[in-house]
Amino acid sequence: MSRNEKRVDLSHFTLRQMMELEACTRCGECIETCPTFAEVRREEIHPLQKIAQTKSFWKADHLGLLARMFGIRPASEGDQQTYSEGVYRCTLCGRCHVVCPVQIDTRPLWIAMREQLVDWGLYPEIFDTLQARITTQYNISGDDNANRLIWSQNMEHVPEGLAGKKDAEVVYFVGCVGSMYPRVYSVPQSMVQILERAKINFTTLGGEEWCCGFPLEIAGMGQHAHALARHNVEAVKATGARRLVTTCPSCYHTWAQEYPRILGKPFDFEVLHASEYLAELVDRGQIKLHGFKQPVTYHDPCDLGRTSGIYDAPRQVIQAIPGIQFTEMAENRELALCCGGGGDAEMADAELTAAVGKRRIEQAQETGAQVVISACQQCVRTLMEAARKNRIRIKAQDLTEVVWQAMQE
Amino acid sequence: MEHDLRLTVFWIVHLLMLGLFALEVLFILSVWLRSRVPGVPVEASRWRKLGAAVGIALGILFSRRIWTLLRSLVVDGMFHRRLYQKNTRRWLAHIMVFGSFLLLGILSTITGVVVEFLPLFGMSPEQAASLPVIGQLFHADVWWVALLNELLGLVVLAGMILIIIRRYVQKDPQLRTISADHIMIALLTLVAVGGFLAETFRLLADYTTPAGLFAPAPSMLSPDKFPPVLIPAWGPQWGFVGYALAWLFGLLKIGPDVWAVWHNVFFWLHFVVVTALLYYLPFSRFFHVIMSPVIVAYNTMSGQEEHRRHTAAEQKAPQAAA
Repeated sequence: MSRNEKRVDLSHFTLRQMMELEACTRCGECIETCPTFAEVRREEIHPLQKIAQTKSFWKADHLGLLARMFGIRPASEGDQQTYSEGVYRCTLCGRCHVVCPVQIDTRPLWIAMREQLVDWGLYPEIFDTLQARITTQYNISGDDNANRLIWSQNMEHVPEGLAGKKDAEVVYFVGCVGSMYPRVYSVPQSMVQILERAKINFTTLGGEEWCCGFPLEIAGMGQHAHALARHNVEAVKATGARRLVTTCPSCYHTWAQEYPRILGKPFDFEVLHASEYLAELVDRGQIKLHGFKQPVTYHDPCDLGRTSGIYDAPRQVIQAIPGIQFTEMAENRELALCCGGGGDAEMADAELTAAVGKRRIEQAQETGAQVVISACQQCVRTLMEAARKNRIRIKAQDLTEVVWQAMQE
Repeated sequence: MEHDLRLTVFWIVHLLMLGLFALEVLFILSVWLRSRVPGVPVEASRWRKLGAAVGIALGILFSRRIWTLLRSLVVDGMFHRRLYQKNTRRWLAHIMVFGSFLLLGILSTITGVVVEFLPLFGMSPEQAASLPVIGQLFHADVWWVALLNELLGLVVLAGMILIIIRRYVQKDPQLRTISADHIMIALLTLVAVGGFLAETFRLLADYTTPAGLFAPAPSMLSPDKFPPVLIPAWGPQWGFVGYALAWLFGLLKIGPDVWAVWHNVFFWLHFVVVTALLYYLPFSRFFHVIMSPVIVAYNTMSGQEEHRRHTAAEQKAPQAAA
């Protein structure tokens, strides 16, 4: 692709984002809170630099002589490559938005930058594989999508009507990580057992569940997610369910925020994250919690907390467990540190995201907890890995696993 | 009459410059409209997108949301609440420069209106200067105008010193200094220092006797320049820094014509630097002076609405279940 073809296409950005780029005061608040920059101190990674580069690029490409007069030069291939490396080494955790004095809505801005980079062909090659897997196999692992319920095979008792039940009230949308990654099979296993014990008339979409499209959306390949959105919505509608519950915060965000935008209309069913639904079941007395022996802490998943604004529901559920010893981490809620597993950053730089995970698991360890609870199978997977690699004696568990365990004790 | 003519030229050039600045901003806005606007296809014309954006803005202006927006504009956009919560010292430095420049700009604009525009509508200098409150802005030697200008100028300078210390002496690790920052800091400091010098030489030009003695008296100014109605409020000594400097320079016993030349030089230098700042604004980080109040107000309003929606949904969910 020639330099001329690598002009900034402003249609990747919204008018509000164009204004946000100019609203950046370069105060640097975002720099010290950026979890990936903290690990490698590479300038192209932090938010301030990404914004400064984007501004410089579009001005050089669209303001012509006026830009040259003020010393703004067109970007070289090298500049664009470095920019790409910075933009894809971001976990999209959104902590920069929280500390930004101007409240720039950073996460969508980083995604818009990725869309531009996809246009330029400057993105990690592995994303082509990801796109191919999702658009042909309909899941992120590339396995046969008919195996979506593989996690249920080693259950002692498989709940009835696990897939394709027509008169279910609730559809449980498992998500790719829970469905396809053995390390977190226990998340959907716990969830369906809780639902069955609570006498909820539920089902899953089984092989008809397609990837929600979130990994493509955040990679800057959102246009490929539209077909997935249409399919999933139709599949849920076909069940006649009134509610959709998901244990994955990324799926939850996509269903609650992105699908209505993509499809241009709201659904006639409600979308809930499992933590909200569990809080509701506890509140209604449909779940009886008996206790949980180990001291715990809670890790706020970025897509559930900062992106979706759900902080209280998981805490309500945890604190409803009789006798539980719960301690908050130093950085929690809006300022919670990312686990490193978000934003597809792991695909761009696995070492970097592992370093972020290490820092987070150490924060969990500092609380004295033996279990770090999260409400996201991706966070659980990442934190589990960080604990294992760094030989930190702490267990990472999903909220559903803890709840199911608390129902047994 | 030379002084008046210079001010008239200043205001004409200044307005022309403001017009050009507006054109510069409009040009940038026209480029922005190549981006996406909610509710309009991306390939729609820029006029249609502009219409949609104006529609969104009007929709907020004529709804209850305007109160949230205005509150946020004042609290977050003007008083920088978030910065205050984060770091009081940095907030102080920022508000000292931003707030003082804003107030000085407002005062200058009112003076421009009183001195240059009201006469266009047949108002004599005496009548303009007799207007309540704003009339006294007719001349910078009215005691409280002199004092206010002086204090605001000093606050700007003190704020700039704090900024320079943080950036160049303490070298705060979260700051990233690029060449454009040096230019901006130099221009802002020049504006503040140049303002004091221009004021000093004006005092010398106005109040130096032909024998070269600095001996201020209101009678030394023509009634057109300083209408008699203002004489009871005359008090250039309240502009204590400029006045003290003028007194010091006055010891050189130089005639008023020479000081008038110096005043002209510093007056136009001050003007050129302010104009350069204005033109550089949309291409520098300082465009945030205009954009960040807008964005922080809009995003804070949206954030609060989102939070309220979410809290309502969270409260509704258990009730619905019950």
